[in-house]
Amino acid sequence: MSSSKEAVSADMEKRNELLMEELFVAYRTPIYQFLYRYCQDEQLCFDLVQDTFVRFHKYQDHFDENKSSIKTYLFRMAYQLMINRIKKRSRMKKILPFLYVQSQQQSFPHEDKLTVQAAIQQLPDEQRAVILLTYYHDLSQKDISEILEIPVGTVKSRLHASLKKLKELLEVNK
Amino acid sequence: MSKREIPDELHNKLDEFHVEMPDIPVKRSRLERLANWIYAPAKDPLEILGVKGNSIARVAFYPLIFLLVLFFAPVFFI
Repeated sequence: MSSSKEAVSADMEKRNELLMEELFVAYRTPIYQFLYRYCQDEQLCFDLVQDTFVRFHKYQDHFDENKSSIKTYLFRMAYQLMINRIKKRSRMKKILPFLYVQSQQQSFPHEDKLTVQAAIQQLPDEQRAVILLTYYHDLSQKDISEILEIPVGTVKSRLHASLKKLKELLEVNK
Repeated sequence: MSKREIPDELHNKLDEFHVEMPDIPVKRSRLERLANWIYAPAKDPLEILGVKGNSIARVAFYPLIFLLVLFFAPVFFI
């Protein structure tokens, strides 16, 4: 009896791992791209992608498919992890500033025309996430509001503001 | 506002932002992370002293100042 229970649990675990691998293959690229476009730090994003899936594996029982899609859920997890890491890093930066290299924005202040990477980096944090999720990941405003945990109205206003700022920074005609 | 409403010129600019995807394994290795953290690029500590690649005189000069300070420091405690 106990051996059959063990076999069932082993089977469940194997299936779970297979599912995790499938999810990893399907979503690692969009998640990495989102994170990289947001913080432009390869090593940090590399770690964050792994952390997202490790966290998902740990808390997958909390996932309710009636409430949100798996894509939204994973993006929200990745976004929260990234925000926490960035906050932690900025605290460390204040204590040990010599450990951190200057950001791209500070390194090239005299360039005549900004590259899209630099322009995105210059957007305020809350606007940056909205434009990235809308443009590069084709997510609906409702999905974005779930990922960023903000109302849909705020998503709309941030999107509008971010597009206006991007046009200014990239000198795009209206 | 949706993606379709973004002007073409801005579309083209945003499309220029390509991201190279590194090969990320499923499982993380703590040792690898530690190694990456240690080898991550850091700010040049000699930047404060104004030492650059061709300023050998300054590189030689700073230890001398340090030695002088070290040598004369006990005078202030007598």
